[in-house]
Amino acid sequence: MSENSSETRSKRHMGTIVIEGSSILLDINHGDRFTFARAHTSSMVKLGNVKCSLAPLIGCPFGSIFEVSKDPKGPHLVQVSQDKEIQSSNCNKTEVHGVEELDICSDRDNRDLIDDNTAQSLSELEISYMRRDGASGTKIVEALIANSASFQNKTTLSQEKYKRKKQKKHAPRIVVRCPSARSICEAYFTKEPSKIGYLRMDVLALLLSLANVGANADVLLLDELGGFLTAAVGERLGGFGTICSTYCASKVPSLGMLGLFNFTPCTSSSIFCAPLFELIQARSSISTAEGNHEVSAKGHSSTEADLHSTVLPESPLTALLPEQQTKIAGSLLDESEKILLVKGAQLETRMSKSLKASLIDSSIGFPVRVEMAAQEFSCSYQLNGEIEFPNQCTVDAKSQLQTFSLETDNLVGEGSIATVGQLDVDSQTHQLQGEIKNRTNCGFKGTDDMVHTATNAESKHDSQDKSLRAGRRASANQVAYWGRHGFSSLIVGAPEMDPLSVCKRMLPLLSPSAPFVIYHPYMQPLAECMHHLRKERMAVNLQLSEPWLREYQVLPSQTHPHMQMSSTAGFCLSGTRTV
Amino acid sequence: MLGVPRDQRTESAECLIREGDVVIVYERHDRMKQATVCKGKEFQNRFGVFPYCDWIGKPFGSRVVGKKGIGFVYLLKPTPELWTLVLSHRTQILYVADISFVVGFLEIGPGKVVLESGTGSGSLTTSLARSIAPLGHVYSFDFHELRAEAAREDFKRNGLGSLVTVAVRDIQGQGFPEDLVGRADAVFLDLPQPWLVIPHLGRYLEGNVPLCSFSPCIEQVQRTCEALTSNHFTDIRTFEVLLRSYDVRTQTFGSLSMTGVKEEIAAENLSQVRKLSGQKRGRDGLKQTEPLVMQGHVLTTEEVTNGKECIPALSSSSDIGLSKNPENTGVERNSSERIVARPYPETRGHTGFLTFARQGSNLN
Repeated sequence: MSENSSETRSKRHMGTIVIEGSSILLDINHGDRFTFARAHTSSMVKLGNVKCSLAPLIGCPFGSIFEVSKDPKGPHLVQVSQDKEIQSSNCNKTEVHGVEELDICSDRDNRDLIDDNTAQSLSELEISYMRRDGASGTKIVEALIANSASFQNKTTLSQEKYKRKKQKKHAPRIVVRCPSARSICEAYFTKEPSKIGYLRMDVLALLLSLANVGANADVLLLDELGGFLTAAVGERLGGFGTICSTYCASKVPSLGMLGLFNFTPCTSSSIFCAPLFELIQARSSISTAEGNHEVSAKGHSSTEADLHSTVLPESPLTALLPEQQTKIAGSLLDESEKILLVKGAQLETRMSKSLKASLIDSSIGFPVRVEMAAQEFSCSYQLNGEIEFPNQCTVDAKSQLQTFSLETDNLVGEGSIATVGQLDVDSQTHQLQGEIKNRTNCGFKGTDDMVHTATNAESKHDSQDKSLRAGRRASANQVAYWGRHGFSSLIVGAPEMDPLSVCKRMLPLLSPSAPFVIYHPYMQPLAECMHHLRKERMAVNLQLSEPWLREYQVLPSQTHPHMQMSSTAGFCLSGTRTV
Repeated sequence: MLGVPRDQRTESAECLIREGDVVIVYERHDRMKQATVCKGKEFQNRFGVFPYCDWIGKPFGSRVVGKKGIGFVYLLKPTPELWTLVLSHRTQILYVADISFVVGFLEIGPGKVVLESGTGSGSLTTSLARSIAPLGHVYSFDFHELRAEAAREDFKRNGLGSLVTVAVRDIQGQGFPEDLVGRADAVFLDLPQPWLVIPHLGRYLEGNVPLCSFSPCIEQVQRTCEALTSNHFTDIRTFEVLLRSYDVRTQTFGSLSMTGVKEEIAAENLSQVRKLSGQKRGRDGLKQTEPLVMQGHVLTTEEVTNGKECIPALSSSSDIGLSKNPENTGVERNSSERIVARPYPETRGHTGFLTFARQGSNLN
């Protein structure tokens, strides 16, 4: 029996009410728009033409519905009751009561309806006056209905549809949802699928099942989908077991998605990074029964240097000394990649407090664009408020004013700039100093969808213990353990890698009889991989599958599949490794 | 079946087969069976006879050969997915497409408590147990006493006994037990008439708890959704999930010469051609080929081995689109062979509809 049997649900789990500071998913107008936000008292969201504070959401249970209410103090969100919500619209479906079933054969139809925009007698100006005078959204909708000449002649179905459409425009509603792998996946897949590699929610669920992701597993991941797969696996393991998100030497995994999940420190601490060559080295040293199993994570062996040859700077300027390296934030990048070159001087990347404080509270690894000395390069903003610079980042120590812009590539459309600041290089200390000013008061400029809400509050995560941060570099001991025992399963989500090549290098890292699954948007590379795995007898139970998902509208006399559906969401090659 | 915490792991328990272990015997593609290792006994199938004592001490994933060297099988470690394919069907079961979608949509994870009715053959239950381990629990109910007992035995054998409680209860008639009110994190229904239970589920689903109902027939789904709506459930969504499997094989393709004549396979490839057409093996371990077609008719083995004379040389390899594979040793594969994939002609068309919903939240 579970030892938690005497506790109530709300005590046991965090997933029932909105906790201050946690990440939440805002479902606006039942799937029209999705937004991720942080539940801070200072967070804002844009609904229609107004911006509202998210403060009323804190403490409410997930699934609560809010709409904008006009108030002398300004527009704010109020919770609406469930029944009212169901009456007006239920998940984009027409709410038809039992008696309306006969509507299909009713005497009303649209044969006399002429669609020339003259039916509505209320003008745009009059509507704006109503709004200005504080009329609620619902009142406006009622007025529109009353002033519509054609409304009474519409079928009940049409009337409902009309009402719903007007409601969405004038009385938008927000449902606050708990961010889970499934809801985040669906939100992204609907609005910005490229950010998660076109991974549909059923495909994600399938990958997790086929790879036997469950407590106490050691899961190996090649995740090139923005870290989303890693986060989803992390959620499934719940801290029991380990996850290694590996990467080939020249590419560092971007784990920006991890911040959208509300991971406990326990879960976060189970997520590691390790470069692939280290894992291979550890594993092959076991199989060739060589002496020392300990792989030095910091050492720069000749093999490493070879692999890094494309990454190390061409310039003859030397790398930073190890002691200076430690001052550089974060550990996602390999040690040798965190090199900051300066002509004649070296920069510390510690920022002044004012800089840190005014940075947006966001998740780890948001791409950052820094313009310094007329050069522009991408860095990574880390959870603890520091910035990691990549190699080959040369700065003139005396140069001034630079633009520092945060580009939340993960969540917003391309090229959006959220904040602008100025950075100076202190000629004495060679420290970067400056201030970040928010260009906009709230939110990021960018596409309408998937706007991330900004807050000016100091990041709560500044205080998060580095040792527990998700995606930290695996220690040598950890790598050695994986080398000795192998991983219990493998998931590959790398649309730009050849699956066969990946299998050849990574299947040996698995323990015997471990399941693996490779997700790829295209079928042919997987077919070729499958053929070779069969030929070489590297795996059995090979299956090349294409998942298919269809949603239905179920209503009395109106049951049918949705008119739009996703035609494809990639392919999965699954199998079990043989000895 | 489940993962063991690191501090409790022993090398042998993790990797090596021991007496009493449940093993998945992989015979060939789409053919697997379960076996419980018992010293002194044997496993028999159409390929051979396999004494269990040969298996003990071997790592999972091994290929073992039968008595007198006849036949072989692979011994795999059980996982819930493999178990679904080998368990004994006492009822119609759910397969991995539905199971994975349910687990994902109900957001089931470690520590959660899941209520399930009915247990059936325990296919979904096994996956639920894997997902809630090690601190959660599955309370599963079935109104058939013998099936409940058989399921209990299966769970015990797979090491899930402490995570799953199977009780004999008619959920449709009696609802869930009173002592489970407020303890569930997810509820799954696979009942003939779920609309009878829905009015009574409110208390079990308080606090944004998701519900899933699986029904094969659309009429059942309609009545379920009506019941959900009138009982103030929200986020009601109905889905269908399927998996389409692909058959991967190699095939040679003909091409046309400049004059529009079908090109023949080059003489130097003839030896491979002979080899190829003689091979017609199963899909699992070895490649297979389509019958060779030359000049509009299918080559018989005889014709090939006799070296039918109309085999001029290929004009150029690029004409027939060679797949350039540096790994190819060139021995088994004809250079004009390509790897192709297409769906299997027969596929599962429908299992059931999955309807999800949540209890509407009340105003504070």
